[in-house]
Amino acid sequence: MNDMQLDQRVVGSDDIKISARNCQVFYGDTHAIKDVTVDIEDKMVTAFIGPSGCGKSTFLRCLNRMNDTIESCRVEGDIRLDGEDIYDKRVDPVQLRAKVGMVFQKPNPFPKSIYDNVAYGPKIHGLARTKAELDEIVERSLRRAALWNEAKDRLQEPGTGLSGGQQQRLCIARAVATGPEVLLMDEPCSALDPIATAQVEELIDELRQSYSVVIVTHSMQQAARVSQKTAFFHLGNLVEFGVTSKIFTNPEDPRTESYITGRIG
Amino acid sequence: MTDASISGAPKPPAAQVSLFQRSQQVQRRHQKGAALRYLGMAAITLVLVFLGVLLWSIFSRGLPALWQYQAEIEIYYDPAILNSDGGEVTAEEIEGVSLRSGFEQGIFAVSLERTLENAGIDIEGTVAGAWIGQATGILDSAGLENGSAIIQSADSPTDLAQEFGQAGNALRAANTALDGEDPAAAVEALTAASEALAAAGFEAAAAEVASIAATAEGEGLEAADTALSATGYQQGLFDAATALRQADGYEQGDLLAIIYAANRRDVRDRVVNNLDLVGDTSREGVPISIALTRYLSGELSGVGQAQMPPGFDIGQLALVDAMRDAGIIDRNFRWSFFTNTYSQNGAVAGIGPALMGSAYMMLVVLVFSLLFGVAASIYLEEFAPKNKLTDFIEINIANLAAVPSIVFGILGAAILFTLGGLGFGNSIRGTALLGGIVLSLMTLPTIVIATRAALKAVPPSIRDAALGVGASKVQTVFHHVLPLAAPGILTGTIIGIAQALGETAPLLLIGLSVSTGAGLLSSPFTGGLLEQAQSMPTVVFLLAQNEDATVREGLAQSAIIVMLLLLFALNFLAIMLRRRFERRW
Repeated sequence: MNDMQLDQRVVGSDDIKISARNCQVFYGDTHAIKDVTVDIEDKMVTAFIGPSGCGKSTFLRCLNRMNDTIESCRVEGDIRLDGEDIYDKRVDPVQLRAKVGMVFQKPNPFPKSIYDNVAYGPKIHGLARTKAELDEIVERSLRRAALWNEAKDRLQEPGTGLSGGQQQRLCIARAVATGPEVLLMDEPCSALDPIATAQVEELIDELRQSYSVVIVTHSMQQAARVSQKTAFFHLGNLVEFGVTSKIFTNPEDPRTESYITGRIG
Repeated sequence: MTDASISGAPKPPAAQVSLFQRSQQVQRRHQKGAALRYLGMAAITLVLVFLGVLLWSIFSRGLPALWQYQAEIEIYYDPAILNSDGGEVTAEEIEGVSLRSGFEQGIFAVSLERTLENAGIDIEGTVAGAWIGQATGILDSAGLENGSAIIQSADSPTDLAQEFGQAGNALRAANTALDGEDPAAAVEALTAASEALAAAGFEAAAAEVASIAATAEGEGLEAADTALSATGYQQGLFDAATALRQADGYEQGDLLAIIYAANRRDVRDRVVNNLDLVGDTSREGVPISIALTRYLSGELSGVGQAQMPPGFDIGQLALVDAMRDAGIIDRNFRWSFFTNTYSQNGAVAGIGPALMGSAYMMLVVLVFSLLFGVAASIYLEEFAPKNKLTDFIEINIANLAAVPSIVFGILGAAILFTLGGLGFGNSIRGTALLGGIVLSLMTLPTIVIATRAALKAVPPSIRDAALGVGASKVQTVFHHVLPLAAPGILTGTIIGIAQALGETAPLLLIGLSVSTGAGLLSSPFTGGLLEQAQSMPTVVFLLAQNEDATVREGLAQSAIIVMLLLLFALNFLAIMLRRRFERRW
């Protein structure tokens, strides 16, 4: 993919899905995220890039409150999903996570059948009343994750028996099965080979039609390929946030430029 | 290469060493490795040897003890005893019949005699034959020839015994006279003894004594005394007389002692429950007295005092031999061991209620410790905040796992006394429930530790995945973490239960055995949780202290074998469950 195509890419609507204002994250005494302000738009892929340990994953996990499970972690600031503060006392993180799905770095299917992996979310959220409805959700999710053709004949086989790329797509199917509005992906391709990576990237581009996707990646090529907007994190700071093509061709901050050209990181 | 330029010229490379040649360092490393390997092999061998010795000593004693000599007796329920008034038979009437004179002597002994007679055994003749054979042997070895002919031609052994006694007395008198100073009296006494021997039929011995009389006259008293002592006639006659006196001495009790008749109470109960038996016969396998086991198995030969089973004489042994030859005594598998209750008497002791009691306690342990153990672990591992308090609890659970079991017994006893103070201590003393609770307390830390380890081993990615699709903490734990931890939890639980199964000390303290009485130990356990129970380890403990060597070194091992098999079964179950539930991710 070359820069020409990047420029031609349509940058989506201006609907703000998630807006973070002055977000601070602490692990005990460590200040991991410093004053990050970012707007994530709907129907668009936003990439977080930056060197290891810069806080991009931490920030991603703030967006669906997965950091709640870490006891020493403390989040300050204001993160809103559709204008509602997700750290409000009235918000149940369980409900939030149904709306903000997540795909992890390492494929982590449940040690259950492929069908049960996908059906688990809809089941616990009561999205299907009958078996037929559940079947339909499973099929739709697997189709959406481009796994249906490979998996339709082996739905009752364990999900752990799939190949790495298939497992990751299964995890994506599992995430979309609950009907989320935002999909968070934490380095979803780092454990995959180039072919599986290409499949997942293609999938991400399709998912953009329905969801707002946030992806953390180490690969700048990947960010350039799949995202419309890119945020560059460095040492807990959001250094630069903007249209992907601009970040990669004409960054404003010298640190961004150094990272992209491979001089830091 | 900057370093090289600083230090000047590069060092010349080390002299070329062939790969085929081991350097000293490699040599040393090899030696160390080999030493470690041999030490490991030695340790394993030692362990295997110990295990082999243990298993051999248990199985070589315990397995034979599972077979028992039994007498098959045709018991005749004599109406003359059970229904002495000749009218309608009633249960009250039978319960009124004395156990000793009625059932033991009237029914058991008579039935036994009848069984032997039916098998063609002449009871009195067998006993007499044994003793006469003994007397003949004694006479022969004392040099008194012709003994068997004399005994056979005699009218009655008792009369003969008297004659032998007189001859013996005469010899003793002669012996006394030879110790004195008067040669004439000595010669006279010897002549009298010679005559007494001749009267009893021992011609050769009489001649021998007569020649000693001649010696006394010619060579002096001392030489004669030595010659007389050398013959051994006197002791032989007395011993033969003693044996002959026994030949006529058969009593019913001698026969009855061979079998174990103490279950006369059972027989009475059986007749009370089934009055139709009166006047009828039934075949019964009755255990043989435990003291005879070693004789029947050939361990004791029955010859000489040291080889005689305690409490028996050769007349009885002859009867036992006759019964065995007639097929009345047989060696059967001892099924009753698994159903009978514990008894001091090895012939009828069993582990039935103990097995039941242990099974019930295991059930209580399973319910209590699995429920509370798993609940506590899930809370501590998944939900509890990590602070000083939970740290403190954690350390104490680890400490509890190392507390000696007897301490838990003391705790149980304390509970017992507290309840006793409230007035219902006696109702819970020695029950399966109390035993189970005490064992649960003991097992709980083991299960908590195993469960927490199993929960910890579940990869965090699974938790993330579940939380990521919007499962709550509780759903995450119960839908995903717990099923994955199940094999570990089950293994820990079964190991804990196996440990509890073998625990003796705490049970002794809360009254699941011993001194509290025969009533408790002989009561069958029917399965009430609030019923006085027995347990396997305490019964092993009691059997191993039995006064009877056959029980100590046989039945105790048999009970241990049963326990071992139970433990093997439990461990096998643990492995199977593990295999069945184990999942990979």
